[in-house]
Amino acid sequence: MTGWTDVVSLHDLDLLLEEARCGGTRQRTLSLGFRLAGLAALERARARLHARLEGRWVHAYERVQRRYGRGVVAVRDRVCQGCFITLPTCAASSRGSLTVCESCGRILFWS
Amino acid sequence: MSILVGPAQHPAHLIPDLKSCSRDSVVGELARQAQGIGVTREPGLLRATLLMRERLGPTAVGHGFAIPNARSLVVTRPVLLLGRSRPGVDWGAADGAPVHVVALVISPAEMSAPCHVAAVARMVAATRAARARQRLLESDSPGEIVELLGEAQ
Repeated sequence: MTGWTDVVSLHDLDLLLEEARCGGTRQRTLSLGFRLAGLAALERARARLHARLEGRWVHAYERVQRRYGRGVVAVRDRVCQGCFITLPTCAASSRGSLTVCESCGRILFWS
Repeated sequence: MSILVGPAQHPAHLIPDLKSCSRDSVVGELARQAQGIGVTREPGLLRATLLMRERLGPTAVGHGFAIPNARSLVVTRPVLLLGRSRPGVDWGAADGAPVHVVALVISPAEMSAPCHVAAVARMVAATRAARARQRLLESDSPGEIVELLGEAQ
Protein backbone atom coordinates (compact mmCIF):
# COMPACT_ATOMS: atom_id res chain seq x y z
CA MET A 1 0.00 0.00 0.00
CA THR A 2 1.28 3.45 -0.81
CA GLY A 3 0.74 5.53 2.25
CA TRP A 4 0.58 9.29 2.12
CA THR A 5 3.43 9.07 4.62
CA ASP A 6 5.75 7.78 1.89
CA VAL A 7 4.93 10.75 -0.34
CA VAL A 8 5.57 13.17 2.54
CA SER A 9 8.82 11.38 3.41
CA LEU A 10 9.94 11.55 -0.22
CA HIS A 11 9.26 15.27 -0.25
CA ASP A 12 11.18 15.88 2.99
CA LEU A 13 14.04 13.76 1.70
CA ASP A 14 14.17 15.84 -1.47
CA LEU A 15 14.41 19.00 0.65
CA LEU A 16 17.38 17.50 2.49
CA LEU A 17 19.03 16.48 -0.77
CA GLU A 18 18.46 19.96 -2.18
CA GLU A 19 20.26 21.49 0.82
CA ALA A 20 23.10 19.00 0.55
CA ARG A 21 23.62 19.46 -3.21
CA CYS A 22 22.88 23.15 -3.78
CA GLY A 23 26.17 25.06 -3.93
CA GLY A 24 25.45 27.98 -1.60
CA THR A 25 23.55 26.06 1.05
CA ARG A 26 26.01 23.19 0.95
CA GLN A 27 28.98 25.51 1.43
CA ARG A 28 27.24 27.34 4.26
CA THR A 29 26.37 24.05 6.00
CA LEU A 30 29.94 22.78 5.66
CA SER A 31 31.30 26.08 6.96
CA LEU A 32 29.21 25.61 10.12
CA GLY A 33 31.14 22.43 10.83
CA PHE A 34 28.56 19.87 9.69
CA ARG A 35 29.71 16.91 7.65
CA LEU A 36 27.66 15.85 4.61
CA ALA A 37 29.33 12.53 3.93
CA GLY A 38 26.10 10.57 3.76
CA LEU A 39 24.81 12.02 0.50
CA ALA A 40 25.13 8.70 -1.37
CA ALA A 41 23.32 6.83 1.42
CA LEU A 42 20.52 9.37 1.29
CA GLU A 43 20.24 9.02 -2.48
CA ARG A 44 19.92 5.24 -2.07
CA ALA A 45 17.23 5.74 0.58
CA ARG A 46 15.38 8.00 -1.84
CA ALA A 47 15.56 5.40 -4.60
CA ARG A 48 14.10 2.76 -2.25
CA LEU A 49 11.30 5.07 -1.17
CA HIS A 50 10.59 6.07 -4.77
CA ALA A 51 10.35 2.42 -5.80
CA ARG A 52 7.78 1.79 -3.09
CA LEU A 53 5.35 4.48 -4.24
CA GLU A 54 2.28 3.79 -6.32
CA GLY A 55 2.70 4.76 -9.97
CA ARG A 56 0.01 7.44 -9.92
CA TRP A 57 1.70 9.28 -7.07
CA VAL A 58 5.13 8.96 -8.65
CA HIS A 59 3.80 10.40 -11.87
CA ALA A 60 2.00 13.27 -10.14
CA TYR A 61 4.95 14.02 -7.85
CA GLU A 62 7.50 14.15 -10.64
CA ARG A 63 5.30 16.21 -12.92
CA VAL A 64 4.71 18.82 -10.23
CA GLN A 65 8.35 18.77 -9.13
CA ARG A 66 9.56 19.38 -12.69
CA ARG A 67 7.19 22.29 -13.05
CA TYR A 68 7.46 23.96 -9.65
CA GLY A 69 10.58 22.53 -8.01
CA ARG A 70 8.69 20.83 -5.20
CA GLY A 71 6.32 17.90 -5.43
CA VAL A 72 4.02 18.56 -2.50
CA VAL A 73 2.84 21.64 -0.61
CA ALA A 74 1.06 21.92 2.70
CA VAL A 75 -2.40 23.33 3.21
CA ARG A 76 -2.44 25.93 5.98
CA ASP A 77 -5.74 27.46 7.02
CA ARG A 78 -7.34 26.12 3.85
CA VAL A 79 -4.76 27.93 1.71
CA CYS A 80 -2.60 26.08 -0.82
CA GLN A 81 0.97 27.06 0.06
CA GLY A 82 1.97 26.75 -3.59
CA CYS A 83 -0.40 29.16 -5.36
CA PHE A 84 -1.99 30.71 -2.21
CA ILE A 85 -5.52 30.20 -3.39
CA THR A 86 -8.14 29.60 -0.71
CA LEU A 87 -9.40 26.11 -1.27
CA PRO A 88 -13.15 25.55 -1.58
CA THR A 89 -14.91 23.85 1.29
CA CYS A 90 -15.64 20.86 -0.93
CA ALA A 91 -11.87 20.27 -1.10
CA ALA A 92 -11.85 19.56 2.63
CA SER A 93 -9.90 16.46 3.34
CA SER A 94 -9.15 14.31 6.32
CA ARG A 95 -5.96 14.66 8.29
CA GLY A 96 -2.90 13.29 6.61
CA SER A 97 -4.45 12.67 3.22
CA LEU A 98 -3.28 13.91 -0.16
CA THR A 99 -5.30 15.66 -2.83
CA VAL A 100 -4.44 17.84 -5.81
CA CYS A 101 -4.92 21.61 -5.93
CA GLU A 102 -7.46 22.35 -8.64
CA SER A 103 -5.85 25.72 -9.26
CA CYS A 104 -2.17 24.86 -9.68
CA GLY A 105 -2.09 21.05 -9.80
CA ARG A 106 0.31 20.66 -6.88
CA ILE A 107 -0.15 17.72 -4.53
CA LEU A 108 -1.64 19.02 -1.29
CA PHE A 109 -0.78 17.70 2.14
CA TRP A 110 -3.52 18.28 4.69
CA SER A 111 -1.84 18.24 8.07
CA MET B 1 15.31 39.66 15.04
CA SER B 2 14.95 35.92 14.96
CA ILE B 3 12.20 34.07 13.15
CA LEU B 4 12.58 31.22 15.60
CA VAL B 5 10.27 30.81 18.53
CA GLY B 6 12.12 29.02 21.29
CA PRO B 7 12.46 28.61 25.05
CA ALA B 8 12.92 32.36 25.47
CA GLN B 9 9.29 32.80 24.43
CA HIS B 10 7.75 29.57 25.72
CA PRO B 11 9.13 27.46 28.58
CA ALA B 12 7.53 24.37 26.99
CA HIS B 13 10.24 24.57 24.32
CA LEU B 14 12.76 23.42 26.90
CA ILE B 15 13.20 19.87 28.23
CA PRO B 16 15.60 20.40 31.14
CA ASP B 17 16.23 16.70 31.69
CA LEU B 18 15.90 14.42 28.68
CA LYS B 19 14.76 10.91 29.57
CA SER B 20 16.20 9.26 26.46
CA CYS B 21 19.75 8.04 26.32
CA SER B 22 20.36 7.37 22.62
CA ARG B 23 20.45 9.75 19.68
CA ASP B 24 17.42 8.23 17.96
CA SER B 25 15.28 8.24 21.07
CA VAL B 26 16.28 11.82 21.96
CA VAL B 27 15.16 12.89 18.48
CA GLY B 28 11.88 11.04 19.09
CA GLU B 29 11.42 12.71 22.47
CA LEU B 30 11.93 16.16 20.96
CA ALA B 31 9.55 15.32 18.08
CA ARG B 32 6.88 14.36 20.63
CA GLN B 33 7.52 17.61 22.46
CA ALA B 34 7.01 19.41 19.13
CA GLN B 35 3.65 17.68 18.88
CA GLY B 36 2.85 18.74 22.44
CA ILE B 37 3.33 22.41 21.61
CA GLY B 38 1.29 22.14 18.42
CA VAL B 39 4.08 22.45 15.88
CA THR B 40 3.36 19.10 14.28
CA ARG B 41 0.67 16.45 14.30
CA GLU B 42 2.98 13.82 12.90
CA PRO B 43 5.86 13.27 15.34
CA GLY B 44 6.72 9.92 13.76
CA LEU B 45 7.26 11.49 10.34
CA LEU B 46 9.18 14.38 11.84
CA ARG B 47 11.44 11.93 13.67
CA ALA B 48 12.01 9.99 10.44
CA THR B 49 13.01 13.18 8.60
CA LEU B 50 15.38 14.23 11.40
CA LEU B 51 17.01 10.80 11.41
CA MET B 52 17.46 11.07 7.64
CA ARG B 53 19.27 14.33 8.30
CA GLU B 54 21.53 12.47 10.73
CA ARG B 55 22.30 9.93 7.98
CA LEU B 56 23.49 12.78 5.81
CA GLY B 57 26.00 13.63 8.53
CA PRO B 58 25.88 13.84 12.33
CA THR B 59 24.55 17.18 13.56
CA ALA B 60 26.78 17.17 16.63
CA VAL B 61 28.93 20.30 16.50
CA GLY B 62 31.35 19.37 19.26
CA HIS B 63 31.86 20.53 22.85
CA GLY B 64 28.73 18.64 23.96
CA PHE B 65 26.23 20.24 21.57
CA ALA B 66 24.08 18.87 18.77
CA ILE B 67 21.80 20.82 16.47
CA PRO B 68 19.49 18.38 14.68
CA ASN B 69 17.51 20.29 12.10
CA ALA B 70 15.23 19.86 9.13
CA ARG B 71 12.55 21.46 7.02
CA SER B 72 9.42 19.37 6.78
CA LEU B 73 5.89 19.38 5.43
CA VAL B 74 4.63 18.25 8.83
CA VAL B 75 6.00 21.34 10.63
CA THR B 76 3.68 24.33 10.81
CA ARG B 77 6.04 27.06 12.06
CA PRO B 78 9.75 27.52 12.70
CA VAL B 79 10.74 26.65 16.26
CA LEU B 80 13.68 25.91 18.45
CA LEU B 81 13.34 23.13 21.02
CA LEU B 82 16.05 22.60 23.56
CA GLY B 83 16.80 19.44 25.49
CA ARG B 84 19.48 18.79 28.09
CA SER B 85 20.90 15.41 28.96
CA ARG B 86 22.95 15.18 32.12
CA PRO B 87 24.57 11.81 31.40
CA GLY B 88 25.18 12.77 27.76
CA VAL B 89 24.29 11.02 24.52
CA ASP B 90 26.59 9.52 21.89
CA TRP B 91 25.87 11.57 18.75
CA GLY B 92 28.85 10.66 16.56
CA ALA B 93 30.53 14.00 17.19
CA ALA B 94 33.87 14.64 15.50
CA ASP B 95 35.47 15.41 18.88
CA GLY B 96 33.98 12.21 20.35
CA ALA B 97 32.39 14.11 23.23
CA PRO B 98 28.92 13.05 24.43
CA VAL B 99 26.17 15.53 23.71
CA HIS B 100 24.62 17.28 26.70
CA VAL B 101 22.63 20.02 24.96
CA VAL B 102 20.42 19.32 21.95
CA ALA B 103 18.99 22.30 20.07
CA LEU B 104 16.36 21.12 17.60
CA VAL B 105 15.69 23.61 14.81
CA ILE B 106 12.69 22.74 12.64
CA SER B 107 11.08 24.77 9.90
CA PRO B 108 8.08 24.34 7.63
CA ALA B 109 8.80 23.16 4.10
CA GLU B 110 7.82 26.57 2.71
CA MET B 111 10.83 28.18 4.34
CA SER B 112 13.76 28.64 1.97
CA ALA B 113 16.91 26.60 2.52
CA PRO B 114 19.12 29.69 3.14
CA CYS B 115 16.68 31.00 5.73
CA HIS B 116 16.61 27.65 7.55
CA VAL B 117 20.39 27.35 7.47
CA ALA B 118 20.66 30.90 8.83
CA ALA B 119 18.56 29.86 11.84
CA VAL B 120 20.83 26.87 12.38
CA ALA B 121 23.87 29.13 12.04
CA ARG B 122 22.63 31.30 14.91
CA MET B 123 22.52 28.25 17.15
CA VAL B 124 25.99 27.18 16.03
CA ALA B 125 27.24 30.67 16.85
CA ALA B 126 25.76 30.38 20.34
CA THR B 127 27.68 27.16 20.94
CA ARG B 128 30.94 28.72 19.76
CA ALA B 129 30.93 31.51 22.30
CA ALA B 130 33.01 29.76 24.95
CA ARG B 131 31.58 31.55 27.98
CA ALA B 132 27.94 31.07 26.97
CA ARG B 133 28.68 27.47 26.02
CA GLN B 134 30.10 26.69 29.43
CA ARG B 135 27.17 28.35 31.16
CA LEU B 136 24.72 26.40 28.99
CA LEU B 137 26.42 23.13 29.88
CA GLU B 138 26.65 23.84 33.59
CA SER B 139 23.48 25.73 34.36
CA ASP B 140 20.88 24.08 36.54
CA SER B 141 18.44 26.89 36.06
CA PRO B 142 15.95 26.71 33.19
CA GLY B 143 15.69 30.49 33.50
CA GLU B 144 19.37 30.97 32.83
CA ILE B 145 19.31 28.58 29.86
CA VAL B 146 16.40 30.51 28.42
CA GLU B 147 18.26 33.76 28.98
CA LEU B 148 21.39 32.47 27.24
CA LEU B 149 19.39 31.19 24.32
CA GLY B 150 17.41 34.36 24.15
CA GLU B 151 20.70 36.13 23.49
CA ALA B 152 21.50 33.60 20.74
CA GLN B 153 18.08 33.81 19.10
